[in-house]
Amino acid sequence: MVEVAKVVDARGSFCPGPLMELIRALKSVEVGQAVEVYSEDQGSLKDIPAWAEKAGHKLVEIKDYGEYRGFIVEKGEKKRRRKKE
Amino acid sequence: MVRVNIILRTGTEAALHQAGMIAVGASSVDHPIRIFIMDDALAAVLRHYKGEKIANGYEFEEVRDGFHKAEESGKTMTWEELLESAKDLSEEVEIMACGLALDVMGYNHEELPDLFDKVSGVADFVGGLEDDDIVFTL
Repeated sequence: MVEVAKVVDARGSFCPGPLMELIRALKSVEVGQAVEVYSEDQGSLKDIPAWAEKAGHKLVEIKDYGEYRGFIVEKGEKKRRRKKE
Repeated sequence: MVRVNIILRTGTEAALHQAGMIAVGASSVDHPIRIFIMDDALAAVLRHYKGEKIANGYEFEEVRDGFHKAEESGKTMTWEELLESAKDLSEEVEIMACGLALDVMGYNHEELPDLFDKVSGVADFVGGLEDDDIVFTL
């Protein structure tokens, strides 16, 4: 079971607010730890899973709290990329 | 990893917001970004920093009113917040002011807001494009 090290409440924010909150929170935790972000924005259902996969993190679970959802994302190793000169 | 380039010429909140959304989306997945702000867009940004209102630019009232309400209630990020967030997320976000436009407007290059990283020319910007770069023109 992954440890949720931080919970961020981004309810009331439209896209890309919840994703921005998630990204900032993930920067503050260690690899292997997780962040749960609360969002009531419908776009988060697509944005957050797609971003997590692209950025090398793991979407552990999407919790349904009724009025909003909780996206639990485990921090992964940063994907290596070619740097432009 | 592709690099995203935005040439921003339209001086409306709608265009600036669109640029901010593209920038934040690109920086969230570590795409390097260069934004070249010229002409009316540059005037709009500079007027904004002087506390002046700038043109909205949305064509339909449901979009215009929707964004207005969402911004008033803090539900959406402003274009300025989006661009600042893009810079927070990535060190490879470069925002350039068009030198020609600044000169034409009689603006002192030294007095640019901190949002800008440098003054550049279109030849420098376009000349710096590489084969797999993506360019948005707004």
